[in-house]
Amino acid sequence: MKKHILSLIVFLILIASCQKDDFCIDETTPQLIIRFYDNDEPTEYKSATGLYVWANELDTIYNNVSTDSIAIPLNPSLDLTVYHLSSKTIEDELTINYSRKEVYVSRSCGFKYNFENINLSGITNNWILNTEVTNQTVENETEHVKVFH
Amino acid sequence: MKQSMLKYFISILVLLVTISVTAQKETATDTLKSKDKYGLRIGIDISKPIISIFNDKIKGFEILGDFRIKKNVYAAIELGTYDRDTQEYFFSFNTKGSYIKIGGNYNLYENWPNMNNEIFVGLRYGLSNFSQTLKSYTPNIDGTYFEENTITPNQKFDNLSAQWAEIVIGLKVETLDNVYLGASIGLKKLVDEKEPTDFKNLYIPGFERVFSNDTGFSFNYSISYLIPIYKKNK
Repeated sequence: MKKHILSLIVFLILIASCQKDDFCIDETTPQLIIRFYDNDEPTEYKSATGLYVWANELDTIYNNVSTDSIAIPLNPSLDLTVYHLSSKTIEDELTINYSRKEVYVSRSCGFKYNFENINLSGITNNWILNTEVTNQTVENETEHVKVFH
Repeated sequence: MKQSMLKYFISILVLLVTISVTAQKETATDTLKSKDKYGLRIGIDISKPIISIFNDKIKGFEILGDFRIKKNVYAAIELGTYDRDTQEYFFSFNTKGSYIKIGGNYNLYENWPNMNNEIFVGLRYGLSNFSQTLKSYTPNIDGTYFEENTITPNQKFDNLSAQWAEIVIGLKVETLDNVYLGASIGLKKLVDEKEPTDFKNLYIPGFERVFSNDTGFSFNYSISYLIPIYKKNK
């Protein structure tokens, strides 16, 4: 009996000596998802071709791609982010306005932001014909904005 | 790193103490009639001041006491304070408060004559009142496209509390007359807690680190003095 207790004590102390490190595996700050639709068939996806995407004064996130879906980060230090979307060298600009809400995730992931009250302003209409906010809250990475072209 | 080194060092110490307890048993051949000492034993946790030397972010103090009720049964209590700054990867916070643990120990060790050592298992009910202060955080942003700003809210969450159940396993060795050295580990499970809004109790005084499944683990090295009150025949 005593021997069992002793080995149990030693075993538990050894376990305690090597605490596992936590890794962040939870979802952190989500990105805004824009999906491209056909302006003539508003329920059909339509890829934007030769697409470049960048935020004001920053590098491009997408470089000459053809896609019907993009994920773009929102500026966590401001309540708005201005994005430039260029398709086949025709450039449009749009401003995404939002409010930020910090949410505690976990010990290893810390805090993330959710974005609420998404709305668009300052949209130019060179190749983008119409836009629609379909989800005002960015909590996870599903469609938030429709862009018709 | 220092902390885990210290833990290993102390683990080895405990091992040595354990071995010496066993060794003593083998050499004790005395068959004189002896008496059991009953009384109030009061001590302090010596691991907490030592940890403070190696890590000035952690300040803890604990006094402990027990009283022998029956031959192998002791009523036990621990009282402590705790003040800890923790730096996680994305945020830093402070935990400050006090705690009380009440319960009992059962001695499993069959002493030879004139020995008063214990290898015990025990149960505790733990209660802590504390505050958490979220000192700073950096929002966890996917990628590095935008610069992250560190925010320092220094937000204090007062009047938090936690209750837990704890299993204790340990030993106490009488090294000088009425002076005991002890070592124990505690395995804990949170029963109830009052959490801050939009934050979490990651450390709790007396409970130490709260693991994701609401369990905890702590160790304790004590030196204590027995104030003998009366003796009973074995």
